[in-house]
Amino acid sequence: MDVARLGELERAVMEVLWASQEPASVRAVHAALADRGLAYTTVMTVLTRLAAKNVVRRERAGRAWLYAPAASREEYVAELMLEALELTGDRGSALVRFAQSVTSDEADALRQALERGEKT
Amino acid sequence: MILAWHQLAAGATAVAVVAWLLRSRWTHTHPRAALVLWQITGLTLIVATIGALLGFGLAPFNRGLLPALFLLPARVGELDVWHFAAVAAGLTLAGWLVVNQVLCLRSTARARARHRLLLQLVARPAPDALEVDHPIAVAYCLPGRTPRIVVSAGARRLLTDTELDAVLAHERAHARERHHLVVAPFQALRRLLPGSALLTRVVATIELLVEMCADDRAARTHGREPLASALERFHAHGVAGTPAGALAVADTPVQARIRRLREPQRSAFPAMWPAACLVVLTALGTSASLFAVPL
Repeated sequence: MDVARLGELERAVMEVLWASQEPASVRAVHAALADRGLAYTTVMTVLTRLAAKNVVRRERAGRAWLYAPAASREEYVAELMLEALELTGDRGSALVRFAQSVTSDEADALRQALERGEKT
Repeated sequence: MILAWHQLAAGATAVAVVAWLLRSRWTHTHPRAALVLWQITGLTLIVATIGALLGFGLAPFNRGLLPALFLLPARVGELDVWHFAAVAAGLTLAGWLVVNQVLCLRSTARARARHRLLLQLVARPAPDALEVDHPIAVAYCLPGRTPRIVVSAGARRLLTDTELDAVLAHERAHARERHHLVVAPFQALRRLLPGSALLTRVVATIELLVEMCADDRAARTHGREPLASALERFHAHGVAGTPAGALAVADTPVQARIRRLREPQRSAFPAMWPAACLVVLTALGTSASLFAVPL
């Protein structure tokens, strides 16, 4: 499977997990993506990869693993934006920006979005 | 001893060029040439500093620096305390610089990998860029083997289509010209000495020159005005909510970029530039060859 397709699948799987109210089994994710005609093992592979990258948490329930997003979509967006705006405290060099424009209120809102996620 | 004096002379040359570069106005007209000079001068300064310390410390051996270093383990007892201290300082400095660069590369690579992953999960692929759904306006380039150009929904709303195209061309220029590689060594140095006002100023200067290179490249295909007005919008938008104290800076880097896009100066290429390059390269050559030549 090529990288672009794998990336697209990871995204689709995350969408399912974010939409689900509670941790989902591989079977449930597979069923939610039924219209894509994916193999069960493919969905399992993607979930395992996502868990290895720490964006998905997994817990055992009986004989099956249940998967849940490690953070909400909003928190991930906030994390991206904080880094893009160079507000992470670490004056790193990961990105090259065009120009930044952020008000202090907006920056506070982003930080709060992340902190909320860490508490829950 | 003569080695140490040569190294000091090379270092002094580099310091003089740094002072000239920080003061000059032509750098904004010819950012690329300025960046080249910055890079070789920075390298010269570091090589010469280490060379001077080692040259003084190893002078009693009467050899070139590298041959003398090989002798060091066996004959370290012959050095008095000053020479020993200089050798130790030189070696520590060299090791410290290398380790710091490697650590910075590693942490940057890790941050980029995480950023890339999150983009894959939450950004919407549009034909021209990845789009992050957030009202704050940002546009940036995530460097890497396959660089990603990212805009926020806020940036799309803030800019007209022509302006956005120019901004994206600017980001593609960063990606194509591998600007992150130009900035990275200087940023790593600053991380070593975060309190240094001089280094902070140098890094800010380099970052600004890199932006100007990308501005020039984007302006060639998309015109100067869309880029200038895009910068102005970003600037005005950001300034609106900042507390009063933060506005005290009279000439921000963004204003400098807008000005040179609107009123391009046709100032001639500085005659001093080739001369300065030649002098610094000679200094670097001298400095580096003193490590190898067995005197």
